[in-house]
Amino acid sequence: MGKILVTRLEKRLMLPLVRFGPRFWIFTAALLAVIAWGAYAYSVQLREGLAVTGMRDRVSWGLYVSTFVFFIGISHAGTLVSAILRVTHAEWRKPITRLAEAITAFALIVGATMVIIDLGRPDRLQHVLLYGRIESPILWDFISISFYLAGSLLYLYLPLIPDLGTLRDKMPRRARIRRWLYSRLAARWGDTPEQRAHLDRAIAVMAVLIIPVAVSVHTVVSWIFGMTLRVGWQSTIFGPYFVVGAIFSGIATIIIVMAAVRWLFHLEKQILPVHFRNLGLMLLALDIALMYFTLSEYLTASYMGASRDASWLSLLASGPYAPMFWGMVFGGFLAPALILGITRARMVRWTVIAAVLANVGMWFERYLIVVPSMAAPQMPTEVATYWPTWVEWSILAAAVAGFTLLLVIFSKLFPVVSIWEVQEHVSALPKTVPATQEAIE
Amino acid sequence: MTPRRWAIPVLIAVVVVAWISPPAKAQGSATMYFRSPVAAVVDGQIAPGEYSGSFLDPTTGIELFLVHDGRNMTVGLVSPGTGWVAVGFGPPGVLMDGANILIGYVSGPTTVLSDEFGVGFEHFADTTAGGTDNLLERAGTEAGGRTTLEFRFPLDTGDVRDVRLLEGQDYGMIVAYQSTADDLVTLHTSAAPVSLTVERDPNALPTRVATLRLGSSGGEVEGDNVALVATLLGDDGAPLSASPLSFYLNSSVGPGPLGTVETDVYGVAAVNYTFRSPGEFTFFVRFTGDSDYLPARANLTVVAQPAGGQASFFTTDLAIRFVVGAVLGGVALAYGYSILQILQIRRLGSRAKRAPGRGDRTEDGTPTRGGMSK
Repeated sequence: MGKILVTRLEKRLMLPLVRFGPRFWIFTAALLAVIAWGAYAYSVQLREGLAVTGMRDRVSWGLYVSTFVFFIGISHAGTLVSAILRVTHAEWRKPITRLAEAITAFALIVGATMVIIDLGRPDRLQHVLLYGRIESPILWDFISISFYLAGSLLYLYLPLIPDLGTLRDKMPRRARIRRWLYSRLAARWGDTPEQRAHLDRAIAVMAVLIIPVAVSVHTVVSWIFGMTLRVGWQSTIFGPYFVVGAIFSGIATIIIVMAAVRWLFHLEKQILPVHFRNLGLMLLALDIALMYFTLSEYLTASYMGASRDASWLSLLASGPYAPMFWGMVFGGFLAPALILGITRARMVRWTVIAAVLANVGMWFERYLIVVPSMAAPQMPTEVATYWPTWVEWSILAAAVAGFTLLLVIFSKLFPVVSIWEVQEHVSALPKTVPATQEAIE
Repeated sequence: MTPRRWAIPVLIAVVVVAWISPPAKAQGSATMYFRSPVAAVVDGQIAPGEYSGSFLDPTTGIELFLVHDGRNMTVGLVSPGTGWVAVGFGPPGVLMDGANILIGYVSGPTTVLSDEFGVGFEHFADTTAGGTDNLLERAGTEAGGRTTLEFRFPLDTGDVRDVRLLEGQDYGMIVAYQSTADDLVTLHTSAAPVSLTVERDPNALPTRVATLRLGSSGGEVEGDNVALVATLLGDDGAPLSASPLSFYLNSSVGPGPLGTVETDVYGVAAVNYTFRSPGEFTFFVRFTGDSDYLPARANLTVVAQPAGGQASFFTTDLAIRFVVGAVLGGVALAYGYSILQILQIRRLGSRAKRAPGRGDRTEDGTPTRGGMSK
């Protein structure tokens, strides 16, 4: 049996694909258990109907729709950040783009699933296409998310092709199924100049195109709310407000996943503190922009003092949603800004803490956009009450577990850091460490 | 004294008398109780407990006993005289004019009781005007200088000269008596108006059917206001006032409330609506019903025309659809272009594999790839 020559970098990035320690199995089993419990909860909901949730006629959108908006926001992580950095030729991006693109695809899949779960009759999903009206933002949302998911998968796949070629050639021979899989997916990549030219062309087209598509997605999601005559929703700034919030939570998710991958797969030499610093500073900038939008939104409503606005704001500021609202303001917006501002994102640990706080705050923000506006009375009547039931919490946990599991499976099938792009980047550096060759069986 | 000299003392006297006269007594209020079955027996004698209650009119001294079972009323009248005694029913504030009058007397063994109607200060038997005497039972006695009359009479006779009495409604009554004359023409000794409340059957379900109509007035053009006017009538054609009517706009997401308005004395309630877009609008109004009337609903469809100077909805819609289609088509084409590049990569890979010396892996591990390990 002949030896396959690999560079040290290839070995470093391919090792996670072949090593399955007990930690991996325990973690995967735990995720599967949570997903199984969520599936059971959903089966209860399917059998008994939406009455098993906390949603009723007044508050008909709750945890599911909040989580849908949250995951669609996270999906901006990737493709948008990756595409913007690619278009602007930010070379430092190369080790993190793959993760970002994967996060996008998986967040979209999980987010779209939440909408289907929110339907009392999921078998009627086809009605959106059969009977949907183009005048309805719901149909716009369906179309834009479908296009974004297709584009994101394509955009994830394109830069994978050269690495799939590498994996096809250099994976150990005992991994026959995977070699077969890589062979099928590698599109007969031979790294010829002609192939490279076609690949560059496709990536360039997708990088440019995916930016407006991504912006359109969260803008359209915001219009579902912004174009509804309801207190707290009817707003002209919801489009940019949602997009900024989405990129904010997306970047926070990249930072968290990056830190986990770096720690678990020992990629300290590939994912460097500078990556955390650059993304941390982007997070800080977006945090400031988000606080500006938030201030503008709530100040405008409170200053005018319309009775409906006032009662809605009192729900947030001093009513049952006050802990979540102030938690979002101080814990989700101000605290990350302070952490990142003081440390200037130089410390990886604090950047990760800021990212976690930002994501928790953004989930609160999505919940606070959806639920209190539905609970606020449209007629002179009492405030509706809503609290998610165990079914909803279980499905939320399963959604988070599902998103994590998709990332885990992806990280075990494909290199989480783009081998060929990093190799190119390293080759271009003046003080390049010689690519030492090693052999693996 | 000349007439002029008389005038001043008379005026002074009138003012003084008016000043020192006791104030007019407040109008009494009687209740016609609901009891089913009615225990009262029409025999000209009122035993204790026979009626659920009584009302003593302070002006005339007449004592009234009133009870009904939802179909007929049973009435007992006890006057402080031996002449005729009468009671009249009509709308609130009624005196003689327009009242349904039951008048009678006891003369020896004979009791006379007549179903009459009032016109001005006179009264005539219903039978003289094409009506019927609707008294079901009648009886009377005289004892101790007092006359007792009892009768049973339908709440709703169907006679145009009679007043229909409805449960839960307020009416007016007039009571009068003559102290000695056993006839129906001598002027009364004393008379007084009394207000009457007909008690409702607490267990009764509404059975009556109201008529609810919904119409519109105003511009039926995008941007214009239209007044939605609803009229609520009882089953007798009379307007039902002070009844809340709720207006709605039917939409694809369910009924949108436009407001709730009480009907006026004509049974009319109205709300305004502004057409925000052209097209077909379906409104409806609901009467939730009350103790007498069942719920009612009326629909109205209005087609609002596009405002002048604007493109028709069809044209705008078509243009929007074209733009959306073009954008989505462009994105799909770009995706297709990228997929085409992948197919090109695949085709080039196949060609390199067939060509010797292409696609082999180099020994130094540089990015050149393509060959499977030997």
